[in-house]
Amino acid sequence: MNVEKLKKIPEEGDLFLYPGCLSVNIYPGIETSTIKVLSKLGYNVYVPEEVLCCGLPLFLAGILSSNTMYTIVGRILAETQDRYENVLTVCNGCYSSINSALENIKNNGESMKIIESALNAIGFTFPQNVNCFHVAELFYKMRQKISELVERPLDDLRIAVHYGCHYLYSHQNKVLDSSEHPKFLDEIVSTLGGTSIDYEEKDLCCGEPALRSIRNLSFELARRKILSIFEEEPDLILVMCPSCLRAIDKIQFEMLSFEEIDVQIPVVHISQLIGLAFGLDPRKELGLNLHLSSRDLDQSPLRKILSER
Amino acid sequence: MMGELNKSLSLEILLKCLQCGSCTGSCPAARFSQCNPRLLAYHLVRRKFDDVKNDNLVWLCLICYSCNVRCPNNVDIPQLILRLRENALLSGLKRDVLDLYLSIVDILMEWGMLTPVLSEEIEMFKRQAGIKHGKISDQTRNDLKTIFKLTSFHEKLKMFEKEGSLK
Repeated sequence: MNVEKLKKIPEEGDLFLYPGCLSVNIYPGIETSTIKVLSKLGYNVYVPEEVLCCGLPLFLAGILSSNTMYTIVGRILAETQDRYENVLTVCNGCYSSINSALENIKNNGESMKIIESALNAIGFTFPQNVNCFHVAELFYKMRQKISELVERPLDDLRIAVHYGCHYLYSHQNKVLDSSEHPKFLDEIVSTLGGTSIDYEEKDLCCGEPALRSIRNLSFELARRKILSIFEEEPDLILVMCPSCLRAIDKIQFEMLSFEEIDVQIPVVHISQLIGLAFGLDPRKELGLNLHLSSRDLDQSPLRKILSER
Repeated sequence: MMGELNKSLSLEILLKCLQCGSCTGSCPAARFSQCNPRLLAYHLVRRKFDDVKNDNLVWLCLICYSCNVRCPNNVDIPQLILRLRENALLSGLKRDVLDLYLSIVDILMEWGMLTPVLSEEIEMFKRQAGIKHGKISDQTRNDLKTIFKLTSFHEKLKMFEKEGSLK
């Protein structure tokens, strides 16, 4: 366990939530559930009115340079205005780019000059004392309080957990427990009353980071992942990244249309899973019906816990 | 351009890569495609840059950092791939990738995000839940333009355009 990091995660107070692109315009239930769950845990959550993409997908394609991406990140973080020192992301990609930009402050003199002068030109400075955590890390730290707030226990739900490469491998020394054998999401599942099941391809990438022009590679990776998960017949798939969510959500829809599978297993973000356990409305508050894999909630394995209300 | 690439890429690889293959062994893309980070390093050692830039290896990589984590000598393959991608795009190679991602830059300039709202259903959910983030303001759009100009992205865009028309 990364004790130093765990210690730094705030247990109360003000948080700056940066939602990123996908959890605003594709899976907005991730943003709403995150805000509601954090509020129930007692935090004051500030969300900037405008959302700028961190630029990571364009950087990974070789289009944006790291300096351009870090400057955009600086523009995003400047909205903390010295009032918020803890920035939370709900996405592994944003987590990766923001942490890279923060590391760059310490490492690279020449690059920081370019970034600072670009930011100064638009009236901002790069905030120096900001920490960036993934919301899943905070949930792990708060698991005791979370267990006390459970109103709809996930009893009897068997859950397949997927962590995601850009969290585990892009900043290996920042992973909460272990990049090779992570356990913290599985532990959150137990806290909520569910059972995390093992599956062969638990470490396999979801395929989403493949270049958009190579869809067949993403398809093959996500398909292998799904076939492995389906062997264990879980009720739910848990992710901590909207990008992984999109891959594992979409592939099932495609496999269904090829008649390779005949049911879909709902894929949910960690904030939505905790929201479920807190008794929030699966449609209006969690937006689960906006996922291809759980459009019809009454027919999905989730009905096990939803009908008991 | 080529000389610069030569300088920035080869030395690092020559000094550190053992050709042990841990990278390819842990590469998820290698299981389903011709992606092969070890072979890429091998080409670089032999200074076969033209092989490399045209090669699918550069484009099949997921930049998932698995290789980086498993490499016993900390060779930063993702960073090499990013440099090779940037260089290939500036040389007018992979016009399809370039066009696709430049269209995403257009979405970024309009929305601030890389994805617009795609359905009425999502629009309605956002409205009911009180999510206000929509397209960015002109002020923020100008901020982005200034950032692009001062971090050399503008120059790069011009080069992309020029190289593209030479195709």
